[in-house]
Amino acid sequence: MDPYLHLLLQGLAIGVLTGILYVLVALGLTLIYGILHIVNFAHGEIYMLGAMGVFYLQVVAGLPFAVTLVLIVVGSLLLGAVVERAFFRSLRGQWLQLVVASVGISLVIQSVAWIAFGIQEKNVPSYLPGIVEVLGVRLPRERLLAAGVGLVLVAVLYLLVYRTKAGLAMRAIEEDEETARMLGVNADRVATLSVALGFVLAALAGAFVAPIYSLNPGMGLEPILMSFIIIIVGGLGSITGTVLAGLLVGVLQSVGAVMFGAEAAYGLVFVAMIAILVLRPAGLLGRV
Amino acid sequence: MTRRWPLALFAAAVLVAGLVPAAPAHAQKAFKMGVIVPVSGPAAAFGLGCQRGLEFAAEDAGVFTVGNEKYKVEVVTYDTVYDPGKTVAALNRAVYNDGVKYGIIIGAGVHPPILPIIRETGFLDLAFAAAGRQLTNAENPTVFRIMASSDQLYRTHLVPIIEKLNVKRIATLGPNDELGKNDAKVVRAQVAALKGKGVQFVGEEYYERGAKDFGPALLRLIVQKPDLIETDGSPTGSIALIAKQARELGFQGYFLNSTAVLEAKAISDIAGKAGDKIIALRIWAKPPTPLYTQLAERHQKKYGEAAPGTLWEAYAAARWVVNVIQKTGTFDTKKVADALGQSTFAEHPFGPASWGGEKNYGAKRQIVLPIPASILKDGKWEAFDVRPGKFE
Repeated sequence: MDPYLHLLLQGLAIGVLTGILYVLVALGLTLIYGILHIVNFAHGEIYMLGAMGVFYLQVVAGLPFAVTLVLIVVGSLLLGAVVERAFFRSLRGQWLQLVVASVGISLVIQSVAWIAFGIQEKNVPSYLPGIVEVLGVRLPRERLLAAGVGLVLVAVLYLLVYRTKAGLAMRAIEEDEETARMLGVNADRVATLSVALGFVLAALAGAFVAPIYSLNPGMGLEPILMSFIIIIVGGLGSITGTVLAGLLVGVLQSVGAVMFGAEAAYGLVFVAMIAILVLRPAGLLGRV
Repeated sequence: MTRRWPLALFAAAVLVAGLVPAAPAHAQKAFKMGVIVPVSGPAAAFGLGCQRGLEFAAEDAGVFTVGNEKYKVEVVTYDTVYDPGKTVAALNRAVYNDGVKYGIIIGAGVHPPILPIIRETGFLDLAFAAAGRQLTNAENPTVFRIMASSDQLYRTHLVPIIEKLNVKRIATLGPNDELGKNDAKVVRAQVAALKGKGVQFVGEEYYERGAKDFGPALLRLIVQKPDLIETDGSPTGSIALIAKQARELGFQGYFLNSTAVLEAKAISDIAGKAGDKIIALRIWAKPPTPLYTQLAERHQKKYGEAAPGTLWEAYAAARWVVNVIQKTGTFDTKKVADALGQSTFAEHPFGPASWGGEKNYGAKRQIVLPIPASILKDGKWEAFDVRPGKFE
């Protein structure tokens, strides 16, 4: 194979896998915003807690991976419910106050995490070590696994939102909360469920990304920034838009870096994102 | 009368209890040393190492005399998050609000906007920052670099490494800040001098600090078939991920890193065998002095984790400055800077230290001490080389 073509293919493969990881991280954020219009700045910290959860439960305490996952799901579900009841509920509809509250929660979690987890980087051994080679393109198995989990979660979320009664209630609230309440939808319960599920998605993203990267209490910062870009470009609240934007960012970043260098690729991604928003202010699949 | 005895005793006890702690507070004044460093964000490990090093130094320096007054070091921390704007604000607060005139400031990248403040106020900056002449020069007489500079590191070690490992093709992948770009510049210059021996600089790529995905940048470099990828001042997490991802893409060669914070265990935990063949400058495979070991053990005991690599140099710098202040009998930073530049310090945890750089930087403000190079094998640092770090 032509070396340049091989380079591009390898770049494309890395881009697609990275893009799915972005989607995995952004899903919870898009769910919470899509239903409740809350920009959850603490999302990155929940992602970090999910990753740290794997480290402490599986690596340190030696629990089986399945038990670890169950504990992470239950823990993040409860944390999400508590945060919604304690902070988000009373501030619903007050955009600025919600931003301040979620930034505050994010800072508190991060500060406590630096004290509790320490400054040394942590690592979770690979769930699926090794490489798969297809036409000379090398694909790390652990990334393939995380990408697979990402796709499954997209499907599950899609089914939940568009094929279940709870999802119907969520969409009703997103459309018009007052009318939904009049029709008998328990808006508070749906809000709690949405935030709790958003937290679970963030924590699961952290859990499956954990073996790919190193862990520290500040690890949520970069993914949260990228997630914001992705959900805005994809169209706020749109699951399909999030998937498209995540893949687009991943591929642009990777192929752009291969062609023009990593520094230029950062610029390329942002130019593309700005161009999309200029042409479609509501994002790829957002509603105006 | 008898009934009043307990009351009188209680009153006397309260009086004594009130006076006893008050006595030392009057007996000694605070000598404030600032730690103007990131203690949060991706570079927090660097900053916390400095903060803890200074705290150990404050404990060990105890109460000291300057003139007729007794002083004790008080460590004041300002979080910069490795951000130039926040560093400017932190330094202004330290100098103008808190009366801090001495301190450690981390980061070559955050220094350009604070140098005018340092020049104006005479703040004595114990700079934990790479780069070279940009910081330590005749225009900044109160700026001392307390770690080996980039030029010093690469001039000391790069050519011997290239020759020892028979490296012919070198690439760099570093953070896209002052540190990363400056290091790459020095490496390019060193490699250019070896052109006659068939050594080539084949590519350079940069990443945003805190990045976790290096695949695309590595691809561009690996296609140039380097024997060694120089990774500048990448911290532990980044170098481990770079090594892991490079091996996933088929790279078999060496890595070279210049940072002080590289935990062997953390690298091998993250990268496994992929971490082998990382060569680190400034990492001691074997403790060079008993003081080095003592500080490492003290940190482990107090914080329950391995000491960050910045701990020792920060500790030594603070002890050195306090010694010089005691000898000169003044806190005037310009007088202390003059005396400090001429002094030597035998109790540095890395070995005997002095200041150099007059010829290269125009000011004797660059620390000179032994510089080690170690190589990672099976999750442990092995001694590769130790060189004097002469810088003239």
